[in-house]
Amino acid sequence: MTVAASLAFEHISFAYDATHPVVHDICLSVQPGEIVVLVGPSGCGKSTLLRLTAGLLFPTAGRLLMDGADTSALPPDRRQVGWVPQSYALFDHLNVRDNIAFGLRMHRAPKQEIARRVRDMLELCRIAELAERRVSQLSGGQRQRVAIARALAVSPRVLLLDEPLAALDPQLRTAIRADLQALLRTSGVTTLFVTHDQAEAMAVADRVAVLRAGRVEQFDTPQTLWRSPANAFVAEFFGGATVLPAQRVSERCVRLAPGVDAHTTSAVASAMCSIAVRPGDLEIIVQDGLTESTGQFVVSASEFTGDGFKVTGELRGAGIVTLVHDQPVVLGQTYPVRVKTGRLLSIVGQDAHVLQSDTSNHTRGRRSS
Amino acid sequence: MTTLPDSAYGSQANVSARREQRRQAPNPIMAIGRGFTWFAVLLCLAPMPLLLVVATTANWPLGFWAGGFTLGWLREGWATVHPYALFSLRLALTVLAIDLAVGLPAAWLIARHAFPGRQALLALINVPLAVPGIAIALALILAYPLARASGLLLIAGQVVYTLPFLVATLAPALAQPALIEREAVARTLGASAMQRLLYITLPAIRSALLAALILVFTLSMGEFNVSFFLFTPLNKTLPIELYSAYITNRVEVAAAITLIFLAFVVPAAIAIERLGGSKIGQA
Amino acid sequence: MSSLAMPVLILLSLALIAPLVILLRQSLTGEGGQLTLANYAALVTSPAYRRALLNSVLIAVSSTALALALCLPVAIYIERSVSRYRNALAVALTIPLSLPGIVIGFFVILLFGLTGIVPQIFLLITGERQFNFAYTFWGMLLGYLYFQIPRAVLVLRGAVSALSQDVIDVSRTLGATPWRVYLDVILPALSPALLNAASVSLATAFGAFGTAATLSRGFRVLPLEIASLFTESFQVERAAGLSIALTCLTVAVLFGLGRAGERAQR
Repeated sequence: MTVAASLAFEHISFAYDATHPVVHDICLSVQPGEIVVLVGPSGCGKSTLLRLTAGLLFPTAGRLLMDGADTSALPPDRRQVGWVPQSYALFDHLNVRDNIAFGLRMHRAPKQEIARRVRDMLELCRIAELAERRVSQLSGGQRQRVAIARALAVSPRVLLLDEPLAALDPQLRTAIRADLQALLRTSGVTTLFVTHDQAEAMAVADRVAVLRAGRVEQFDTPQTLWRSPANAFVAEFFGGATVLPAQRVSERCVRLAPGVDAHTTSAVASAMCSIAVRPGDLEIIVQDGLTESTGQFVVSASEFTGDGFKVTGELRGAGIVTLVHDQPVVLGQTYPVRVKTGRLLSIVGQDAHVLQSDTSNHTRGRRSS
Repeated sequence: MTTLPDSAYGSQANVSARREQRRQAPNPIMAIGRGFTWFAVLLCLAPMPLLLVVATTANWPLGFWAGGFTLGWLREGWATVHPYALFSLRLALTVLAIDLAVGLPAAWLIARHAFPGRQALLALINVPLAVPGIAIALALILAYPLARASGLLLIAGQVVYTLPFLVATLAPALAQPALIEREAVARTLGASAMQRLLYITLPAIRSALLAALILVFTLSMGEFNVSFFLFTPLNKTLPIELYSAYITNRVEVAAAITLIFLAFVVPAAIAIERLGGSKIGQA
Repeated sequence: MSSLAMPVLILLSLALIAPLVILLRQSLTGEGGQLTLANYAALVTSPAYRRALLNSVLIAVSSTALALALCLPVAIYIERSVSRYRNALAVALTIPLSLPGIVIGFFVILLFGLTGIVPQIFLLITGERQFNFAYTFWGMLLGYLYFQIPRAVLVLRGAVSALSQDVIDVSRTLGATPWRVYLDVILPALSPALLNAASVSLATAFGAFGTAATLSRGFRVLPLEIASLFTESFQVERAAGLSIALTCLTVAVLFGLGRAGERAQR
């Protein structure tokens, strides 16, 4: 026997008009209790996927399954999803308690049931003391909790969070993000979480789907995305890396530039490959001068970060890279660089199985039980 | 990227900084503006207390409270106009009901749907703003000469004339993206179309709705240009009676009747402004 | 969706479109029932109607010019001052909006009529009644101004509130005096709104009947002529012709200035 995924997109496409698909042939599945983050630049179709799931839009092709049943044609009021839009869209003529009770009242739940459920939600989201407040008296973080409590009150099959942290003060975001993650874990609800911020995606997700222009570029755990990005877009957008071409030196070693060799996370399959280089991967060699066994790095910009400096420049024979250095550097000057000892660099888009894993996910979902 | 929050703090600081700056450097344009504003307000308001004085003076042509203070004119005025005031009130409520029944669905359509002919519908509703009342009245009489005695034309004329204001007040309230999003959330929470209308939409637009209702009410109460050609002795509105008082009656009685009329209209006008009606007049 | 449009479409076609079409047909009908443009030609050929048309244009244009000159500083002051009276001032200036024209006419009579307050005060001080101009052109001008003030203020306030404070502050830091900011930054930014306010004021003035009916003693405007044609001499076709002409004038002004405003916005 197999347990169906909580939510599965099967070749979902959506377009307002035939020539401009917003999302195209999306295949994703979300396991019960899993937090899946959709991440991508603005306009990539991630909010559209949430609206499709909520039933506020209907796919032009493909099927949407919830708990194994086709819900593609169900209207939103019969889908039992909890949608939290970016603005939270709280009902500002109601107080916190009535906001949370709204969905239960719509479903004509008995009075005691509503009272009990609202109390549970207030406690779960740690907003019990705000129950009688008007929405206008709440802070951004409190609004977010009310919106989530309201969505969770109807025991949704899936919780849909659209940029839940974007409307908050940047200083508060990290703290609220941790709270939010704890809340989602405690409630155990299956969650689809949209963001454009890769750090947020990495912090919260069980698995991440990287979207670009309406297509899934890669769907996997944050660790896999980091270690084995499927292509340059994923490496650069999700991993914050610079992708450089490299030559195969040996099975586990490539040459990025004259004098700069790097060990890789996996076996090098072909003579030429693409390598994701992150700021922590390269270092300026302080003791020695330039020699034949070091790369040449011409500094073009330097930012003080507190701990040290984030230095951008050209790695001769490779391209523009960024690295971290603890001393001030001189603009225009050439410094010797090498790959830090012990660092393993990711090969971009090499492994066939990486590409495979995002197209065959519902298969994997079924197997996982 | 959304940066809602940091602006909240920043703008607060800006406002106080701006205040400081203005206090230090008086600006000649603002000084002129202040002068003009007080002049305009004086012009707009001066007639009101004057009205009170004239209506309570026994013999106004001889001066302030010449012949003493009296409430006689007000009593006489009320005796003259109260049937017409009641008729106007009934008429205004009828107009209101029809406007709402016709205008609310139209406003909804204009606010929520992009359909071919949307602009045309809006233009059609707004036609009476460009057509002088006298032309609307004439057109109605010529089209339905037999209906005049029934008072139906009076209702029709006022409905046509007030409808653009109702729609112009309601449509922007219904079109707010935040409201549409709240309705969508309510829908995902299981609310049916009727439940969404009752529990989300109407509460959200209640001040616009109230403003629209009061606006239609005051417009109908004070309407003259259309009504003057459509009234009959049995269907005579308060402004028509006001006009005949201006033409034929003593100035004190005319003032008394005007005062009675303003008692219906001015509180409503203030209420509209309080409800955020400054956008309304731009219809 | 179409069911929502039905009520309004039925109502407007019965109570607006059909009557206006009939009005148009009547305006093109001669005394013998033949098709004619004579009812329109009367605007030019008849000295009385020509005069009335010119009077209508004269009073509409001059009251609009006065209203704009007065209301622009008013709108700027109300939107941008920090005076604690600004809300009260704003409310006071919207009250005339709900007053019918006849009441406004009566206000002018109370102020400047034969027994109006101003002439009475002059009588007390100088022994002679002065400024009793209520029933002249000037009295009507004041009445027209009275109902145009709130309309112009509302349109202009909307535009002033949309002005960017940053742009004004930047121009100040670049060395512009308040007057230069006003002339080079604020006025150009408000020109669409000024055109819009002008079109609203002109359209209202062309159609104004109540104020004119209350105050006019010899200064005839087009709506008065239409009214007397209809109620006194029963020349329905001519009344229809003049109404349509007046409507066309109003529509032309609204559209013409509206288009100009749109162009100024770009």
